Amino acid sequence: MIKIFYLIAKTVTLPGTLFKAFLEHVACRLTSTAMDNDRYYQGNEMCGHVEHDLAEKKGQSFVLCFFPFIISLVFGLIFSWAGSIDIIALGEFRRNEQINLMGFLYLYLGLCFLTNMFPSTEDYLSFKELFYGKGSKNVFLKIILAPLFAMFFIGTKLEKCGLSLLTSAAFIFFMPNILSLFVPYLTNLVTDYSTGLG
Amino acid sequence: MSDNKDNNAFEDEEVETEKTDLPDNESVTENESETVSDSYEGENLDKELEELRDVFQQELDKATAEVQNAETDSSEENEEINSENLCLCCGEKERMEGSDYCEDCYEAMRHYPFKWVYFLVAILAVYVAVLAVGKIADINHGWVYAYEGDTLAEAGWYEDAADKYQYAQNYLYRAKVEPKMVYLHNLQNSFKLGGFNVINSYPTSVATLFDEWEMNLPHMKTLKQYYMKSQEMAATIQTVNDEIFSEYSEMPTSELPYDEIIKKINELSNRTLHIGIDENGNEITEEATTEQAGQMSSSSEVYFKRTTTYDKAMLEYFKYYFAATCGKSSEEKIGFLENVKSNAPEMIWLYAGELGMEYAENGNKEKALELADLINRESETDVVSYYIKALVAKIIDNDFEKAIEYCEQGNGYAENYEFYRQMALNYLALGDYKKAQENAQKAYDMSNDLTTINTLAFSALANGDSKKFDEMEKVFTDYNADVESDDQKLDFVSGVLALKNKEKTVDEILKQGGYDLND
Repeated sequence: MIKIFYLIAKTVTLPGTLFKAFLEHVACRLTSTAMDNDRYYQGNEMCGHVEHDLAEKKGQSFVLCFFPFIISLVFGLIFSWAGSIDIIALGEFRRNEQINLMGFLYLYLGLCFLTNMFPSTEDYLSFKELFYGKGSKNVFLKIILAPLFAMFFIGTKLEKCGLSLLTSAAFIFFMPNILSLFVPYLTNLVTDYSTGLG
Repeated sequence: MSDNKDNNAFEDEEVETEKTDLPDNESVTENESETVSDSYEGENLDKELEELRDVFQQELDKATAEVQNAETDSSEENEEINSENLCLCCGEKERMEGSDYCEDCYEAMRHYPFKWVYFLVAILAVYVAVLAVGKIADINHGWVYAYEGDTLAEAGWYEDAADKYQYAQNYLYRAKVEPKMVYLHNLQNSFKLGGFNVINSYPTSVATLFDEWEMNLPHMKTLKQYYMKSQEMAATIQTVNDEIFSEYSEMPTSELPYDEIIKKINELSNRTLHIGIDENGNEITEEATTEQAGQMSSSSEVYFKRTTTYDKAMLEYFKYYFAATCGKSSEEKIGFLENVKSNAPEMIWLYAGELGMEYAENGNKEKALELADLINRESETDVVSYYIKALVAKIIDNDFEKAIEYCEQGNGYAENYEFYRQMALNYLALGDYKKAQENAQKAYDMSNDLTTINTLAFSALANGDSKKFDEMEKVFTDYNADVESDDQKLDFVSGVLALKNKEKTVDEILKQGGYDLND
């Protein structure tokens, strides 16, 4: 059942699924990690991920987990920012007497990318073992990476159940409220600064 | 070899053997040896050699075959062993130790090629992301204005919120964005801000911005209620204007047939009307001549059609208006305003200010302050609450300094001539005539109407400034010069005249008039 939800979420957010797998492929090339195949969409738990050798070094594991995550996150935030402000906050449902397709597209792409940004379970476990396993003694690194690790932990679990689709949707819905915490302040700061320069 | 020959050969061989066994071969006679050698040489020898050769060849072939078979078996065994260690990818080479792949394949897997279609997907994603960034840049500032408007509206700063919404709409209009949610919030804010101008134009504003089907969406529920209310109120204002104001506008207030007017207003509450908006956004109101709802005689297409009655709150307000115009008792005026409150408790701007002032002037401190707090809760910047508190302090508590404080607070939010006039009256009560005149002058400078002229004239008299008094008197003289009828000529109120003629003191006049200059 969980697998079905997982596959449904992956299929609904197909652009994000394929893009995330592409980024993992890029990460494998960057770290010279051997890949078994390049099937981005599969009907199993590896859907949206690429099958590759487990990381043996910390740097390799970090890149494999973090690089696709941060790129997907950045793209997801850009799309959801544009879509949520345009559609949800300002209510531009129509544009020139027609449905605002671009606005809804931004919303959809934001959902796709934010749903598919977390590493696979294997990558996460490899990351955990290398950085927080018995052989790892660098306490400073553990502390620094703790928030990221926590995020991966929660995100991987959610994505595995297909729940990341719901959490992403909720995040996008409340994004105008989140943005209102700092964007108006920064906007006015920039405006005042540029006015002062003028 | 033939048998015969063989026999002969064997015999010869035996003889040959015997001969050789002999220690002394040379004992063989020459004849016998010549015979033997003759028999081996020639044809028999060839045959025998040939036979030997064949035998040797056969043995050689046999041995070679055996060796070859043995080699083949061993090579087959070797082949069976190597297939288990072949690379899973290419199937040709041996795997690396601890891996399923050979060295070459593993190296290739570390550089797994991309499919060109996914590159296209990535490039497309980057392109759309760039468009999204452009969209954010276009709308961000407009959204910030709208957000600031929402924050101000929530805090009760309706006028400032209205300004922010207008900035947002202007900015987004330039960006060619249709921000429906900004329109919605702006309209909701306008309704709370209130005012007859707003109410009159409200239905048209709503109908211009939203389609009929949009008004039925869940998030439009509040706006739809405001819209329906404003429709009825606007229709009521229009009808009262057409049927009552127009009829009595030329009549002096002292001659207004108060009871007749009240009766006409009461009749309006029994009528049914059809309301709608035409395709140009103009409101249409028709008295219902049939019992079938929705039937309108207008030839143009009508939207937002419905059947309703005149707004009861607005009708009661007009009753209060005429009662105040005709100088009716405070109790009667309060009665009408209380009816407004019961019919439209959410329209604080319509009744709370006047009702609070009426209660303050009537000596009901509790109710007056209750309404002042109600106004303050709804909007922190609504200065009417400070005015009511100033009246309560002046009239009921006789705490003139407190009253001045409230007036200054009100002025801090929105400078108003009436606050300066009240400060002048309070300074007069305190005996500080100089300050009284200063504030009265400020009130007059902001608005030169009858109340400010009388207050300034009174303050000038109290302060001994006859020059200023003469200046005020000249205002009336100049006005009256153009007026033919004595009824319409202006003069100071009785309090000012009493002070001018030194019939009463300042304190006596103020106490008699409820600390105001009324006729």
